[in-house]
Amino acid sequence: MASLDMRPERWYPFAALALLLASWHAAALWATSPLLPTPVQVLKVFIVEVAEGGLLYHLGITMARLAVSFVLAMTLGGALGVMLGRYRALDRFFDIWLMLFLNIPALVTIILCYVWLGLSEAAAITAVVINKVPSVVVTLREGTRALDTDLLEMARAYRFGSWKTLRHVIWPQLLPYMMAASRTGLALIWKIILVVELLGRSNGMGYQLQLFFQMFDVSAILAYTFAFVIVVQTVESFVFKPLDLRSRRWRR
Amino acid sequence: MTTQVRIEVSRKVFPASVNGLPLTVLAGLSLTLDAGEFVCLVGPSGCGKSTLLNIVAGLDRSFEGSVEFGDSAEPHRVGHVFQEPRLLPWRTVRQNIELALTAEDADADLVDHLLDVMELSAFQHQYPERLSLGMSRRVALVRAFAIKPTLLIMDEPFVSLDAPIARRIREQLVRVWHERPHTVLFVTHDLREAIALADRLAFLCAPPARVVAEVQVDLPRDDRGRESAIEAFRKRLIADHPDVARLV
Repeated sequence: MASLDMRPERWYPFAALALLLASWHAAALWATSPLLPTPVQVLKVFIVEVAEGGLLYHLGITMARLAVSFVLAMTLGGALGVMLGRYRALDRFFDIWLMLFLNIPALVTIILCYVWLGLSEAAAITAVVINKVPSVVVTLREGTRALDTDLLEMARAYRFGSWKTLRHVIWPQLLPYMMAASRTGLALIWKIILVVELLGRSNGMGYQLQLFFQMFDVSAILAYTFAFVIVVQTVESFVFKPLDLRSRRWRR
Repeated sequence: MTTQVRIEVSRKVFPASVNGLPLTVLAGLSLTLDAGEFVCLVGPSGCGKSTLLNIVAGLDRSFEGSVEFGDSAEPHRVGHVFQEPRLLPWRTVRQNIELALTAEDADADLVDHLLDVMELSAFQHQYPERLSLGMSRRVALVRAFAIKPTLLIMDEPFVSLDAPIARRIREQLVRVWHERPHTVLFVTHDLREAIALADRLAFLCAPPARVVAEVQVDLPRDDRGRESAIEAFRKRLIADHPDVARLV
């Protein structure tokens, strides 16, 4: 009966948020500078940007890039991770590549992609994907190594065939790892994609933020950030949490 | 339909392990299971019983020798009950059973009946983690019977169960086996369990293992519920076969 839950813990998040807004408001009043607007001012800019400005357009562009690079990175990283987890020789051989790619700074990949591929959409997506793939590989490699050989043997004994084995034996074991990779992946891509847009695209959130930075328009920067936070939180609550719960339904 | 199984393993070697020496597990092993016969394989632990089962099931093909089923070399349909239940924890009891069936031989009535005999009907939509070990073991039995096996392979399926529970499941096992007789190869290190279940006992020695003795269990099936009858047979067996006594 969550709706009747009156324990004080339930109100902590709201109280914490109120405290944050209040401190921000107080600081803004004290500073009286356009460089630190009040929450109300930011909200006004947000509403105007949504209604008349390009916020939704640029947010949409960024979301589209995010979706494409996310799907590409998860598919590619997942497939590579499973292969490295399954074949020891491949793993030994490519381990050093993985180490290298894991440690290349995101900014370097982005710059090199733009230099080599031109200031194009493909270069932007490639840069994001290259940044994300190695960590997906590492997570899924772990997951594949942890596959239960007893259950695989059972599947063989009962002649499951490859499709049944993949769907009912392997996939459910990899799902928690996919979930972990997705969540950290989304968080990482969110951050990188803005830099990618800032450096070489003429639309999207990153590009807009750069414009506002040049104009020192802090209200708009904060308004865009607000939109961003809402979208991320929505994806987390309405996509990842339910998926995660579903994947754990069978646990005691 | 049931089938005769002829097992000949001239050599089965495990490749060099940590200490560097390859281990010969089975050598010169020969065993024939008659169609519809219940054979218990008895031997000391670590003597390669599970290895032999994997060979018979077709899961392990790296050995010298042959396994023949009736007139063909391919096992038609092998039900396999492992030492641990090996159920998919993310599928319900019912789904675990149905996954083992192919689309054309899925028989819902048979599954219902087996669940009923094993007293699992009320739990068929539960996830395995909510079941006790004894119940999970029974689910594994239902899964093996549901595929209408021509050969049923069982690898110490009742270890670490309380004696009364193990006995109850043994009775249920014999009951469903009688309903649809098929060849059974059952591994155990418990001689009493073997006598309670088998038509014939085959004794394996320590590695490199082979069948050192075969004993027909001529105890009437009706008598096998009685502990005393089993015990009497066991005493007689050990007296008649002193070589076997060392193995169990």
